[in-house]
Amino acid sequence: MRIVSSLLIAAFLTVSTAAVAKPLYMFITHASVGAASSVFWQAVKNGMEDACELYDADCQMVYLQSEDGNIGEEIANFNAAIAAGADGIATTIYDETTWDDPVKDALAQGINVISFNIDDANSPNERQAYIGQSLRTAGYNLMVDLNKRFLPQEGPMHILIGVNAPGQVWSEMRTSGEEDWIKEFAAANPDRDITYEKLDVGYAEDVMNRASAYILANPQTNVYVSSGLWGPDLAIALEENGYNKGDVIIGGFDVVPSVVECLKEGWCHATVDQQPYLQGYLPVVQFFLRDKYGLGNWSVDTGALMLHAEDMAALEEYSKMGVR
Amino acid sequence: MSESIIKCEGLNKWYGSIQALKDVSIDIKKGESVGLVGDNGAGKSTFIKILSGVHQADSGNIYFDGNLVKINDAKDSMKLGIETIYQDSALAPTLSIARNLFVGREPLTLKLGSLGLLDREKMAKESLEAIKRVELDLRSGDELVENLSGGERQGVVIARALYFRTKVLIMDEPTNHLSVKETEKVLRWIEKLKAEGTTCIFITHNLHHVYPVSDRLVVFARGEKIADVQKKDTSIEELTKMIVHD
Amino acid sequence: MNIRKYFKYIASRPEFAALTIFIAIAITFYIINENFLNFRNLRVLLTISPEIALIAMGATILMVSGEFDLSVGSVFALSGVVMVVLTNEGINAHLAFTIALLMCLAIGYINAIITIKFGIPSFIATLGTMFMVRSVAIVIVKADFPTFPMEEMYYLRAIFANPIPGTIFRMSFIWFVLITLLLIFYLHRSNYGNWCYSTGANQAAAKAMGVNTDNVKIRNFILCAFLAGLAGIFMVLRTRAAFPSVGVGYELQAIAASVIGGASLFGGIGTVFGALVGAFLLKFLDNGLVMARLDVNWFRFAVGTLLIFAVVANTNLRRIANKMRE
Repeated sequence: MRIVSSLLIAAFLTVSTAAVAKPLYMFITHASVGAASSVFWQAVKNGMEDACELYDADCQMVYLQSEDGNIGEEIANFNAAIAAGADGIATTIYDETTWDDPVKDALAQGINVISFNIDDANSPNERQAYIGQSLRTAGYNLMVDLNKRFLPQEGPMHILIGVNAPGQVWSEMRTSGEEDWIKEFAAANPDRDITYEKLDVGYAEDVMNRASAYILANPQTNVYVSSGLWGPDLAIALEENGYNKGDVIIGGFDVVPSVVECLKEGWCHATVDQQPYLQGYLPVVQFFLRDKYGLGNWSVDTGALMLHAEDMAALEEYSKMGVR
Repeated sequence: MSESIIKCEGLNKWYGSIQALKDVSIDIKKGESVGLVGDNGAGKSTFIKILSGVHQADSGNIYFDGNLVKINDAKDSMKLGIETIYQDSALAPTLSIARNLFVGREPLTLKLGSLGLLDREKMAKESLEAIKRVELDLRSGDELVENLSGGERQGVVIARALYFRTKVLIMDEPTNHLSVKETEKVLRWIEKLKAEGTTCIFITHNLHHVYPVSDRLVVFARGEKIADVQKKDTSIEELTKMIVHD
Repeated sequence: MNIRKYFKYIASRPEFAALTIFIAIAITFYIINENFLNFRNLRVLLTISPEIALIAMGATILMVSGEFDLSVGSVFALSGVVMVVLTNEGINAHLAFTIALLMCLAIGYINAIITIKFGIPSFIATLGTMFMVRSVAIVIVKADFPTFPMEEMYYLRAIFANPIPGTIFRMSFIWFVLITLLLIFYLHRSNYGNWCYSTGANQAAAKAMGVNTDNVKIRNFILCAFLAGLAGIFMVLRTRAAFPSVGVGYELQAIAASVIGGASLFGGIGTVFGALVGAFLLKFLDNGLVMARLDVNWFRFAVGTLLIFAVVANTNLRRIANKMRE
């Protein structure tokens, strides 16, 4: 299957690149075709495409045909991109060794290699820059942010961590970050009763079903954080069942209109904007500058912006545009 | 002299370059029971399919009850009063007898266009009556067909034909896969149909089964009608010879 | 009623087996945690179960007539997206609502035509349209994540989505009940329904009896897509958010619900009530596992086990019931 898909990619690209003299920039992701329809990846794609239009380049984003995080298939896609004669390859890296050789190969052929969205920070990997911010850190920082303003500062705290897609990299990393903070915080505050539980909550109405069932069964729950944008679904259930705003602090990810509304209304408290648009846009800028002027790459911390109700007015316009 | 119910003149049918029926003409009288015999590929099935509307003849005429007709699909065929029973394909096993009996012709209470509310009381009552006529000892019309033996299923099929006063009943291998006892039953039911004036046409391989209940035997070979004899004028041995030696 | 007769009645009607399992699960979870059946929890369950039930009932009716529709999840997503996007473009919300539903009818018709005219298995045809429809949903939304037009949708929400004050029900539940009654009439009490069963059980026999099996299937494909689209619209009106990524995997959930409720993948067997029970059962099970503090990762395991158990039980119960001659 991998061989077939790599061959297909290589064939397609060879044909398309032969036809056009534009530079070819390829984005290799660990997102499956299903995950690719998510808000996050669509914003990355929009960023990539807008930049490509601006710089008159040919850009391709390659998803996995199998499932999220299938390293073997992703490496195969990476190698296919090399074979297709890409001028720049942006890839996600989340393993210490598997990418080392492929990246070396690409660099040896003069291809610009940048990692984005997630990077291998430890062992020497020679990719030339990293653009993004770790999913894990984002989760951690969400908790830090919530604690600054919303989390109860005394008394017991019971947190429900909703894992939207167990087994999928993006979901697991964000919730791991949240979990890391909670463990640290609990250790640092032994006099408080701080507990948490992780739950597979799924998407949409499954979140409504499972998260609210959990909260009903565990009324001591006063915080709900997740790896996604379905907090508003839980908020509806809470509202209809007579809860008050702030009884359960809700934090999540991404900026979509429903989250914006939830923040404005006060049922949701914070959301993380990992600025996926930048993760798609900036690599293209850097590829272009290197091709044109021989400029070197630089790593960028696209940051994880914590957004709250007061930020929403300015944000609404951008959210509609699918860029944030 | 009995009147003609189905008269075919010069029927021809090609499947691609193969001629399945060659200039077949036949005149079947009301109330007759005709056995169609012949080896595989002789054209018996094709002939039947044309009468039941599954296929259309490429040329030739069909007269029903003296009138020239066109049979374009199964509905046309059924409207004329022809009912065809294929081997294994007459009943829906997961449905009840009552539903099977009335499929396509359901009695309705309320109606809106062609959509209507089933008159289930009538269906239950009538189906019970219908199967009683073929002496099937079944408790109710709600019994599922898949619970019936092969012979009992044929009984339901024939009960259906009787109930709807089918004018012409075409049967494809009606006694296949049946036990001796059941075969006897089926043959008796066919006698009953005859007695009620139903014209019967059957395809069969088993001359021994069909011979006793047929009035007339028609032999097909290579798409042509090679023999058409009254039972009293022939014998099983003669027929076998005709089929084999062609 | 003597026990034997009762058993035979239950066994020959698989939807009652499903109902029994459902009641057993409800009681079990209630015993483990009495919050399971409290009003708050029921309110949530009665909000989300009807949506998947609508899809399952449509899938069952189609399955009874011998075909499958794998595109229901994508249609579920697309209908809501279309309605919201059109309204944002300035089209009257009620008109957008109607257009979205008409579009679902069209998709159902396309599914039918591809299957019937080209003679390919509906499984494959609708697998194709599943991808195509999903793609359309993503493309429509691409540069313009739709904000939910609150004022324009006010009446639609009031009619189809809002909670009914003082009760645990919402408007969608009422519509769901009405639609269920209509579907029961269609499949179980009408001649059209008899044709569905006979088409699925033995298409050749149905044809020989003059049933237009093509029309039967076309009707059911359209109905199935319509119900999936309607469910999607209910969800969008309720959550005030339209995402092109929802509904992934719903086609399998719908089939699982149908089968748990007694439908056969081979056609000719299945009931509307069974589909309803199967759907509710899945959602209640999901909820109950959380309430019972079981690791929800075992949910999928539980569903799979239940599915296999239900099919094995239904098949064997039928056999046993059939062998039980009075």
